[in-house]
Amino acid sequence: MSGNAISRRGFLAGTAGVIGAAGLAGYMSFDAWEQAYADDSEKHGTVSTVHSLCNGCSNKCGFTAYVVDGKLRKLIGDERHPMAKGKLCARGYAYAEIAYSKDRLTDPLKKNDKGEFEAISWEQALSEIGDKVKEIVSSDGPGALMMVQDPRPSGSYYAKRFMAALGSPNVYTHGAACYESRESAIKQVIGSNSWTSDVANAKMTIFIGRSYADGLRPAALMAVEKAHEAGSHIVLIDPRFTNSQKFADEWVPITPGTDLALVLAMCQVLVTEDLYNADYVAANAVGFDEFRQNIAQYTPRWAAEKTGVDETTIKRLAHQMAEAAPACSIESGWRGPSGCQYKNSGELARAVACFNALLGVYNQKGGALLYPGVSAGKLDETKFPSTPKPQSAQVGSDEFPLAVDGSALAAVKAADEGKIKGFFSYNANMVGGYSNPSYLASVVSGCDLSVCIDVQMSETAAACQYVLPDTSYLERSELPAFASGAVPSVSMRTQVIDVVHPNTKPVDEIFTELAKACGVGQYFDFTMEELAKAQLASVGVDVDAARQMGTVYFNDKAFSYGTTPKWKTPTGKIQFASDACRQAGYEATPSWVEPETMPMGNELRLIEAKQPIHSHTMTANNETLMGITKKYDLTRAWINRSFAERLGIEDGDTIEVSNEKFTGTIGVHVTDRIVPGALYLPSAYGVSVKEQHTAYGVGLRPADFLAFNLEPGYGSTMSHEACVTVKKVNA
Amino acid sequence: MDAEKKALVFDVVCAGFAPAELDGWNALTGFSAWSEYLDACETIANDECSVLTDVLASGELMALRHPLGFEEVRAFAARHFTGGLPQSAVPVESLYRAGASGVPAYDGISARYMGDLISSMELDVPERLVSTPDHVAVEAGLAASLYRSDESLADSFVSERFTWLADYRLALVALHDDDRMFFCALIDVVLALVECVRSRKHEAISEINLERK
Repeated sequence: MSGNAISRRGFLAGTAGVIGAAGLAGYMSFDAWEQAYADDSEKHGTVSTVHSLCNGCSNKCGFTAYVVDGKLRKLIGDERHPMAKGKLCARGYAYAEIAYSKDRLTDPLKKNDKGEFEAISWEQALSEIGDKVKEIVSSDGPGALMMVQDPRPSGSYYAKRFMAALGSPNVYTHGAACYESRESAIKQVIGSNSWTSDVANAKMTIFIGRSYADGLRPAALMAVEKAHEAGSHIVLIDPRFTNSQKFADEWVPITPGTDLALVLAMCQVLVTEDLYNADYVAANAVGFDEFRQNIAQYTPRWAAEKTGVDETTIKRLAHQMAEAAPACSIESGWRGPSGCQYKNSGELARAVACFNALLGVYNQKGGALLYPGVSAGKLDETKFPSTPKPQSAQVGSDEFPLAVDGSALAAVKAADEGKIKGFFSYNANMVGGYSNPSYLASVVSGCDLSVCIDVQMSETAAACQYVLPDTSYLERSELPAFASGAVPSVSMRTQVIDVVHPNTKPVDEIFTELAKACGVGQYFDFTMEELAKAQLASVGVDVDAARQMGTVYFNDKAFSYGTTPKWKTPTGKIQFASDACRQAGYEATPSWVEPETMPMGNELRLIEAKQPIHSHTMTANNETLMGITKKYDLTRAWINRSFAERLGIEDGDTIEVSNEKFTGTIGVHVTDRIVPGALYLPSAYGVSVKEQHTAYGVGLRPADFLAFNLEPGYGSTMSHEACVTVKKVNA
Repeated sequence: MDAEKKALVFDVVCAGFAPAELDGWNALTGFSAWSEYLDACETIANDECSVLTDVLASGELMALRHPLGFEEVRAFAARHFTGGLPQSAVPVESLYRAGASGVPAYDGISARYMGDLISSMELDVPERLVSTPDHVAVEAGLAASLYRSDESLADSFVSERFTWLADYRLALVALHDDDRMFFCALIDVVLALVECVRSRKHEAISEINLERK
């Protein structure tokens, strides 16, 4: 009898095969079952609710899952959650499909001699990976290992702890392709990584390359909607008139890569016309004299030539902001021109931080707020022992000293040079889009050991030797997610449904077992629940209460307007001049840096940005979301109408987009909503792994056109430093 | 038709698509046991199942004459019966029927039906197949057990449950793996048997309707 044989309960193995009368009495044909039980709620009526956190992007919006007999039936955004405020976006609803996706990874995989994946047991996977890690550590030291992880509550903790236990400092996020330059540069000015613009209460807010209606966070969208309805002046400085247009009063079209010039000139106006808050600057800042001297050269006329924005507008914007101060700010941005897109991204972020400082808007109502946060306190060392201090500096830290979190791409460069031998990835698709995918895939596959932990086959997983299948976020509970905010909070991701595929494991188990296999299991001698309980207890919260409520607030740490921030800079002040930047090769004060490339002749700068229904390529394999894409033809490139006319391109045509790195064809949307010198591609498409049946072959991937080249000092990817030519190719 | 022989057909499908252990597979594919399986196919064919006769005569079923060894079956499963790969052909019914959203996904209505059926019949499924109750191995295993218990219930189950295998066979054929033909052949026997059962069921209904007139 087959080992898969159905057996009667209570029967011994070997005597099975026959079903008795009692069992047969339970038989029901499919038709009869469907008529009787098609609607689960009618049959069972057992509805339970549980709080969890969306995994469709890094916002982690809280929601309540309605579960009927173990099956997820409905999601509703949690009112209590600070990012969701009762709403979920399209991704929040649709991404739940990942749990049952046809393309889920169901077993550990290893590449065979032909380079094809085949399933292996967990025992084999862990044993082989463990042996290889020990071999690398023995021959090259733990500094030859690297981890890239896209932060999630458990993944962030366990991935870091795993590497720390091994002695490796080389843990990176996706920051080099997102926020690295912005956060690192802002930190040089104010000592914090970012601020939250108090948009809802502002008289005026300027957004540079950021669209709340596209990189969607429900609470942020509600804030800009409220601001718009209250008559706040919302300005979008962007090469594209984005979907945030619905809440904007003004679009300032700008030549891509020149936002820095605009902000420098606006600073210059404030300083030369004495419109800045001199008392505030005197009380809170250092380096202003050097700043004032340097900024004088960046006149509005100079900036107008660089940016394509006329000098009247530049002066007006500065004047309007001065008038609105302190209830105004330049919004910090996210992944845009200050995050990672240009050679001058870091300088733009510094200039923006300085502009806000000139107007004294930090922690003022309607200004730029430095919200308090909470994190877990000290834990019992015997139960949760500290990991050893790394023996080496983080790879990339010498070449990119300004990068606060380190640059994963700097580590890739080191791997290409043979200094990194072992590559790990958790919930992060570096190969799929951090920089040029072909190059990244070649480096990852060239490592002595490469391991990817994910739910579906990504480009990164496809490049690795081993792939370990994670459960989906719905199938596991996780560690508390602490968040800063007007009132800091902690939110819980609690398991919604049973594990769908029995051979998948939740992230905490995977890293615990990996650690044991690598000989450092002593640092993981606890369960995730024990750790969650301890972390919450350390801040006075009961874990059961937290799971029941979903989100708990720390009201005693609530933010108050008017409090002077603690400037966590080396000088303890706002730094208009930074020694660290000077040592990294920049001017001490924010200064103009030319973009790495500029379009010549008929070239266009290739720019990309998010759409509200996708989180880059992570959601591209979702049938519901891709259905929206296809219904509205959202893969299309955008090109300026006047530029298109010159090339004989009409709306709806197919164009060939080309540079020395890649050539591809795509439909085109001819529009006035983009400046003449740019071609826009949405960031969500061009998935190149066939395993993603829905996503594969749809659209173009902007990263394919990008050379691997990193921003000096920060190590960011410079994702917009690519120029392309276009031509019409359809008949 | 001989119910035990039909049970044997489904036993082989059950073992082939979720290979469990070496001894069990060797026992099933040893000369005399496998001859018994081939004999079962031919007996069913001769017993007024002309469709199966045609199938057995076709060249495609040559693969059945020489069953794959356990290592070949295990390796095929490792390459193709695991999810998330371009050459995945996971034999789960939900993946071959459009779900509520119009797209195949795990845990479709067939999985819910099979899960409820297994529970109501108080049966146990091997742990590694619990989350996919509409896996072909589970469905075939239940069919085999039903044929050994109540042939008419088995016929009812078989006539409803296995039509998806036609689409699944297309997925198998598309694989770049010569061993796929063995698994296609196992499917072909089941599909022929299913067609036979359904034909006889329709004939019986027609006769009843004629009598009523």
